[in-house]
Amino acid sequence: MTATHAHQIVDGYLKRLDGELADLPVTRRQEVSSQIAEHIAQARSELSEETDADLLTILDRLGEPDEIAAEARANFNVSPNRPGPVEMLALLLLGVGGAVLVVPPVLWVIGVGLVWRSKVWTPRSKYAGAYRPLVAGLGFLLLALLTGGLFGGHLIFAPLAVAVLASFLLPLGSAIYLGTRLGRRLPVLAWLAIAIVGLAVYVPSFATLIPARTSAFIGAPPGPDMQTPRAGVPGCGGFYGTVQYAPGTPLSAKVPVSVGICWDLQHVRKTWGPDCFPDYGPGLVVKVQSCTVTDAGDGSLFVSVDSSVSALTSVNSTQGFGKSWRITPDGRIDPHT
Amino acid sequence: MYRMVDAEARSGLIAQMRRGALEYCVLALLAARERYGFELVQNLAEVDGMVTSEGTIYPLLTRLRKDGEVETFWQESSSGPPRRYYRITPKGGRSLNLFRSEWARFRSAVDRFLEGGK
Repeated sequence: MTATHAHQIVDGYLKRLDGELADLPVTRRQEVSSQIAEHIAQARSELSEETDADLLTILDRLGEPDEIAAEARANFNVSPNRPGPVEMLALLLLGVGGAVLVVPPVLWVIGVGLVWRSKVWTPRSKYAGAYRPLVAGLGFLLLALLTGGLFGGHLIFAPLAVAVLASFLLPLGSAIYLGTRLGRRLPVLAWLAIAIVGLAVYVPSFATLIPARTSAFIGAPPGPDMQTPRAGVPGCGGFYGTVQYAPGTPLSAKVPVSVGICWDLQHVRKTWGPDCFPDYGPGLVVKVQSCTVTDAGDGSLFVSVDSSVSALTSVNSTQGFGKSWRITPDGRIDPHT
Repeated sequence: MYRMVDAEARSGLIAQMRRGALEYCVLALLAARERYGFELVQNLAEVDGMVTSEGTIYPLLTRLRKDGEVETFWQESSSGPPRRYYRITPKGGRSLNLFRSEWARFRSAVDRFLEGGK
């Protein structure tokens, strides 16, 4: 009499055992797993009436496949697989895959490919930690693409949220899961190296989320020209404005704006400029979309700059910022929105 | 932290001692008569403290066969599937005899210290 789930129980166990024995020479592996299969067959033949519980008892007494595999490694002098540079690279590609490059899944897929080839993870860990998230993530991305197209960008938030989840959080979670599976087999230094590279990729991305700060002042040129303007007599100087992204961080980048101006309490006019030179930070790239000076018609000037910043490591998070200043005929600066 | 590492190292030592001795227990059982795998495992498991997971015997048997300490042959069984029998070889017999004498010396030496350091 065969137990109800005999097939699943025994085959599942032998399959797991084969997975755990994967790094042994093939003849040894076959010998060990056929001996175990014979043991199970023998034990079953001695039962008069077998139930699922009997089978589970037999397997319990045999021990977990990883115990048997550990014993086999000890006997055949096969050192347990230690994670090397390939595994570190795989974790890194998974961890930062969502943040880097225009097509995020590419690095992710490469990372999963490396995991697939590696022997340090068990098939079960690979399945749960690499294959399943990848399939789910690609599915989500496809869904986001399709729905984004369907709604013509009107319902952009939901597909965007799904895409962020799929391309950013899933591979990161994947990397963390696979990393913890390695446990102490991954040396502390390796953890540290991965964390540093990961931070170098992620921190600039988050720096673009920090609000921009602006400042502006009028600087008069030194010398005899530097004087308080009198009505009808022009005074001249330079207007200097700055939009600074991620201020206060070592990554900050800025857009300085400079315009030469002369004013005489009745109107202000431009003498040169505007000059806008995006000033990059170590991890941030700034682009100037427009940089203009316009006449307000009442004697004032508007200086405006539109710029955006993105992390050097990622194009997924871009922050745009538009800023205008109004320079009045008496040489005052009003922020203008 | 240190205590944990310490305990781990000690349990590792016990496991190694057991693993080292187990090999000769298997040879001794086979020296008495040839046995099939399941039977051998049952004989070993009957004694408390010898085997924690029955399955771990098989990698050992595989190595003993590869090293030429035991050999295998198949035999039909009246009940159930055919059985893979293990038989000790002359080489295995020599290893067993060597271990027997070394073990007796080692055991009495260790016992002398453990039992009061006389």
